[in-house]
Amino acid sequence: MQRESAIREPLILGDKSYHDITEDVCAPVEGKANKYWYIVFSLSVMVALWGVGCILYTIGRGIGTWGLNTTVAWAWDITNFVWWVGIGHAGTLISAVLLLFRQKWRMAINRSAEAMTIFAVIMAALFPGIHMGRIWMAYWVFPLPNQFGSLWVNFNSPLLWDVFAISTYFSVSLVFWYIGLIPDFATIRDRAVKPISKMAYGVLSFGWTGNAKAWIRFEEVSLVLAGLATPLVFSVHSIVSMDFATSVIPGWHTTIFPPYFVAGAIFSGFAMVQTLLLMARKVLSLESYITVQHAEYMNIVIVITGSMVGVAYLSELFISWYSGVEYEGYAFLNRATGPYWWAYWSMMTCNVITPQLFWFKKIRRSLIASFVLSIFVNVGMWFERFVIIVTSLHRDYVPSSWSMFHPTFVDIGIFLGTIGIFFTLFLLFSRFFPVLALNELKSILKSSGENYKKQH
Amino acid sequence: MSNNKVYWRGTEELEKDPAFVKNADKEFSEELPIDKFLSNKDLDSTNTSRRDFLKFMGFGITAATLAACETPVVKSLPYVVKPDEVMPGIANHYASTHFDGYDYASILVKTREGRPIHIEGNKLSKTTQGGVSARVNSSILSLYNKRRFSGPLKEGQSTDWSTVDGEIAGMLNSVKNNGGNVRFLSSTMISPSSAALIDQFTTWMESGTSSSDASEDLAPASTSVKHVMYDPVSSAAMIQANKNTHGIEAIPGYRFDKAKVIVSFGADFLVNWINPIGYARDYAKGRNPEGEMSKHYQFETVMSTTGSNADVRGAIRPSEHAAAVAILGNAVAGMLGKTGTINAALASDDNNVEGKLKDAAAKLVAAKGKGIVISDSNDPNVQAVVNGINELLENFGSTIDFGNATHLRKGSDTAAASLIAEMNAGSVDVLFVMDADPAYTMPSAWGFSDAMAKVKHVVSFAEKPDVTSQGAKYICPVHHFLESWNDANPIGTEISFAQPTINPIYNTRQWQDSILTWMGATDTYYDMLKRHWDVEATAEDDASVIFASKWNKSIQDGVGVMAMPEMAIAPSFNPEAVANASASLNKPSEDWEVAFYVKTSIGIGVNADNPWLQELPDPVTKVVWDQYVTMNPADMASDAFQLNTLMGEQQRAGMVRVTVNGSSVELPVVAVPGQKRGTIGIALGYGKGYEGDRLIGENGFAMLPVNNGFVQYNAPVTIEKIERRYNIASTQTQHTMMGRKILNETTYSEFKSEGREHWNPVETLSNAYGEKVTMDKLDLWAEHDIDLGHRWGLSIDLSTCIGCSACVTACHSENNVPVVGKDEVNRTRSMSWIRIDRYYSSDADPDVHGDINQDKDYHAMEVPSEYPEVGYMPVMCQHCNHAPCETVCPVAATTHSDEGYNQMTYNRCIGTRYCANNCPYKVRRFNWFNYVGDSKFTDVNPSQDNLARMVLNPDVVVRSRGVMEKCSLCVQRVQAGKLDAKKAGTPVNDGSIQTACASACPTNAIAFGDINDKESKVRSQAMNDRAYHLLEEVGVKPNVWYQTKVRNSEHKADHTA
Repeated sequence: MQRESAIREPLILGDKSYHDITEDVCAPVEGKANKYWYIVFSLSVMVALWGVGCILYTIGRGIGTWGLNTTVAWAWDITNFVWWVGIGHAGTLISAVLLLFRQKWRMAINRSAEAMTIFAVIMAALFPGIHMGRIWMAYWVFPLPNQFGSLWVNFNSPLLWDVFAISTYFSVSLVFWYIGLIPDFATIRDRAVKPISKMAYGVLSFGWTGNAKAWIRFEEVSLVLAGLATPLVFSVHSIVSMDFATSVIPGWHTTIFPPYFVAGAIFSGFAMVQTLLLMARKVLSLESYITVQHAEYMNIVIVITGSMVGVAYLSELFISWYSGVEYEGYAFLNRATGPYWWAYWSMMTCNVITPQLFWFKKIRRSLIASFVLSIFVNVGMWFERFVIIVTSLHRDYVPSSWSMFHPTFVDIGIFLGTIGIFFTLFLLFSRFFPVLALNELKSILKSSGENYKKQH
Repeated sequence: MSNNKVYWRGTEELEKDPAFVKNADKEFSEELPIDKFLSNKDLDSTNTSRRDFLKFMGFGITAATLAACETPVVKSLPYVVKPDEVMPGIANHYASTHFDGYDYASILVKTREGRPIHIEGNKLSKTTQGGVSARVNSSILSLYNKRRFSGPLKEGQSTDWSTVDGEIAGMLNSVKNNGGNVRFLSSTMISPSSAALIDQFTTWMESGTSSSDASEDLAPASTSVKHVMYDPVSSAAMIQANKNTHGIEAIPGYRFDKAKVIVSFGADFLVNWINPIGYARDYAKGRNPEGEMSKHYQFETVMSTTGSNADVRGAIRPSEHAAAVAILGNAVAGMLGKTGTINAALASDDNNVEGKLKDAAAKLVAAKGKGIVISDSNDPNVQAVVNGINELLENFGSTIDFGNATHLRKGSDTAAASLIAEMNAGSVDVLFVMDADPAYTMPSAWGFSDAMAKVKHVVSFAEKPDVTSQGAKYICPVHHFLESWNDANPIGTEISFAQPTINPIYNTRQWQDSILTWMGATDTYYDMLKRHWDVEATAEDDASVIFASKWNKSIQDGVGVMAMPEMAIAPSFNPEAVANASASLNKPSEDWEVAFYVKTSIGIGVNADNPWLQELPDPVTKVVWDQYVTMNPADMASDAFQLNTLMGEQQRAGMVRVTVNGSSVELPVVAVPGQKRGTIGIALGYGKGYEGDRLIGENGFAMLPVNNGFVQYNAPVTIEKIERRYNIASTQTQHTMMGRKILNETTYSEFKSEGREHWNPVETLSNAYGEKVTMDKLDLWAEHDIDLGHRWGLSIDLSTCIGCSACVTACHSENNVPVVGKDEVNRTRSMSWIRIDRYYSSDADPDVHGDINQDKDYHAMEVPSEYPEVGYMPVMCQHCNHAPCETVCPVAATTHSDEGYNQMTYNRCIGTRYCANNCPYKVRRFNWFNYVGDSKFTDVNPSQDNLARMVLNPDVVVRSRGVMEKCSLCVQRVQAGKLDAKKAGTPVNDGSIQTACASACPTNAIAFGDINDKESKVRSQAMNDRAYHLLEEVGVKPNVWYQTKVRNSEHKADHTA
């Protein structure tokens, strides 16, 4: 039995036995949902349906229903895309990178973080699709063999790299998540009394037997997938950043983008995990597993990545001046003082200034403060993408073409709609899937469980 | 040579193996087991029975039939007997003449399968010299206007021609027999044979020898016929002044190409004044920095297109017009040592007008005999003084020539006023109105509409509903000019012809034919036209055979081989007239004044319902689809108004109520730097066109005051701010260049004295070793094979681009660019493939060529000067050799061609818009909606109208929703031109292929050709010292070159304008 230093805080609070863990995690799946779940779920579904309506309207009528224009040909669509992809990053980081580093605290949060990743990537993948003028031709972005001979995708295009990056990332994340779910599904299957759920979970658990061989393979596959997923954490957002970095537009054409985007992605992803888990622990009574300690760890990641992002912002400003390039210099000055100053300063405030509060232990360990600040980061990171995309485009090289961007109700509807869909999916997940990796948790109960630590 | 080789099927044949020889003549050397196969019992046990076969066949046929049903029905009828001259897919060009009473142009009409689809200039014309204007080339769309009358109307009810003919002929006969007054009212008519027709009609009416059995004693002598011409924008005072000072009742010819100094008081001669296309052509010839460059002074109230091109522009109040002319006169007289000065002073001078006038005078005197002074004033006294100045400078006979008089303005304000008096007296029995809408264009002070009600019979020859035709008893709709025969005598003795290019679309008839029918003549107007010129021509040449060939050539060329007889003229200057005039010049006022001006797009409103023109951005304000009040931004921001000077996407304009002479209109206000402070401008020609159900603007003509019988185009005004706000759409919302080298500009003196490095430095960047190298040395990628074969490119001379926008409408017409309406333009979604950027100079620029280390106040740089200099820059796809759009398209829908194009494959485009984002020039246009189907565009986009879509060019696909589009350098024309050359077996000659924009340009500022052709014009222009690439430092290597604008002004040009 692995021993853990006594001064380390326990990761599972209270006097929990293996059975208690099973009971606690399976309770939402086996029990009835409470009133709040139904209220929040109905609300999410309504917002989601509104979003779906807006998407259908866009597809039916044209991109003109959005607020885009000749000068600003991407705005909320790609802002949302990058925002959602960024959010997705935390899940992979938590489950893959922290697994490789043997961070045990990940076990309480990795399941929902990965679910968040899956749902966020689905939301993200929606945008490159619906932002196309002719979505019915979307399959042309894949290098499919065709009868036209030389008609082939353009491998120079960062958008094509996106296609590969996102699809790879989504597949690997999904497989990783699902593999982890199998033993837990089997636990639910074994406990199920109703025939339908027994059959459903039976199918979902792929005939998991729980024998030692299966566990060995499970561990091996997890490790291999973690190895595969780890580079993806860095590659996906690097590639997304190249949509901008390889262009010629001042404010986009920046070599700092790949690391800066990855840091930003982890930053925003952890903030979203924080937001979701702080709610989930309350609603699903998981206070014993998702503890203040977990929140603090995540806050540490947030403050570090937030500071990295802040350094990136300042480097950009410096380099734009230092380069001596007229257009580059203006692009950044315009961000801070032009017509979109409010977006820039919202970004600066939410991403750079407020997360610095996490240097104070009191704030770091306050769940209310963590929740509020995580919302700030979510907002700030949305603004970061908005600032990069819109303020760079709206005033680029030729002043005669300068313009502004005004979102329409469809832009707003689709953005809110994706949040609705995301929460709908997440709420369904919390009802039907084990929100904690219960079998993994059991593996640390005796080393990091509060009661067990006291006994030693 | 025969081949004796022998081939064997194998060694068996060579060795004559007996087994082989035995079977040598059989196809298969082995026995095939056919019988065994057929007798195989297993075959019978297969599942496909006969019934199954029938089922499959039935299903197959049904499926094929159903699939066939889905094929859209394409309505097309083949020719049963193909006309000789029509070859499907091959365009025919016909020469014709455009004159609508205001704009004259000799044109070539491109037709496809019998449909006119495009108008270009006719290079054989001496008047317009191959140029067109936006209004002229857009007129093709008016042909397919569904608002045109589809047949004759009587008292508002549709009827047929025989009814109308019977009634009008009867009515005319009764007037003829019983006596009465018949009046024709038109705008300027320049058709000699139409004039002859009216003479013939007059003779017929006044002869009284009608076929009816009228009694002789009914005094036919009391019948009188008169033709009154009235121009909505009148030059009557000029004609009057010329009569007074020189004894010639005409407008002289102006030679802007010969002029060294041009001083224009308000005359917008490059786009609106009398013969703008020809003037613009000549003006450009005289503005050659490499050769000699004329100097252009403009003194005006509203920033006009011409004024924005001036080297020196002075902003004056409309009431200071006379004083400014007088100050110039005094200065010129003083320098020439003449005595006697006119007592004149400006009311206020906030932009050194007096200094500029004195400077102009000095330049005029220095270039004595090679100057032009003109004025658009409709005050004979001012015009007389202008004549006096030109006389002092000995310009008459050299740059101003009465021998080559302009006939394009003949209207008389006094004649119009006396006609109205006659009408009011009830003494007009029949009034024919053609080529005019007097109830709309005449000042309301004249009360034409009321007077018209007192005329017994008003016959309107309108093409489409207008204000006058509403009150007419009969409407005898006329053909569009592209359906008509006509002739014209625009200038001097030159004749041009109009011929029909399409069968009449509606049940219409030329007014000349109507008159002939009513006279009982059996001739058509065509017969008459031909006979008219036969008589004129045979006066010199005696054989009608010669005439037939002359006639055919004239029709083919569009301009006559024959000419009008020369008129002997003997101008004799009368100094008395000038002296008298100068004594009675108007005194300046200090109150708010309004100047009514003519817009480049809408003109006098003849084609106000033409969506191409409504969506054409005004060259100066860049506003589309609206009429507005122009006001200096400094006035707008003043305490009196506190109006919003910003404009653009959803930035709503403030509104004012403008009251002139008791009648008031409410209009939005647009900031126009350069507008004289204390004045406003209102465009004429509005209140007539529609966007859907919305009547656009108010009628400015109605508000015009009349002074001494002459209509004045300015008036005292009271302005009050109203609380309403108004959405106004403009294609450009940032007006200054922000200190960047976009529109490179220098002065003539700097250009002459300094090397290129001072005014057009070659762009360099440091390479990896820190050496400064030119942009073509720095490459990330391999170069395209640009030196092989053709490499098409454009060169645009910013010195001669006057911003007239003829290229924009030409491009719309050639490339089926959709019209998107005001709301979409307001959202910055104009679809034009070529845009003309207009930049105002700003006072705030401290430095040249953005040095980031200097402390620049970018916010101040966004604000134009109060009286700025202006530059125009046409921007279309730059066809980069290292195109940023090409690399980012995920599906390779935009690629580089072997011939230098950046080409767009619409079919492949999936609409990610990444290319548009990555375009430094922002020239890519996205199909945001299905413009040919979406209900938002039903009212504005011609291609949604079954008739108007006939104007679409079949060589260019109409783009679907969701794809990107942009300038293709008229690739369809290049392909056609290459095919022509191939058929002719010659290389492609320079100039034989022209893009729509290049061919429309009245100043030849745009040159298209093959850069790899060593002799081509475009190459020589691209290689000269003034040439540069827009945003060269980005390194995209465009195939479009710009040539530095040279302004002939003394002070060092503000590069950062």
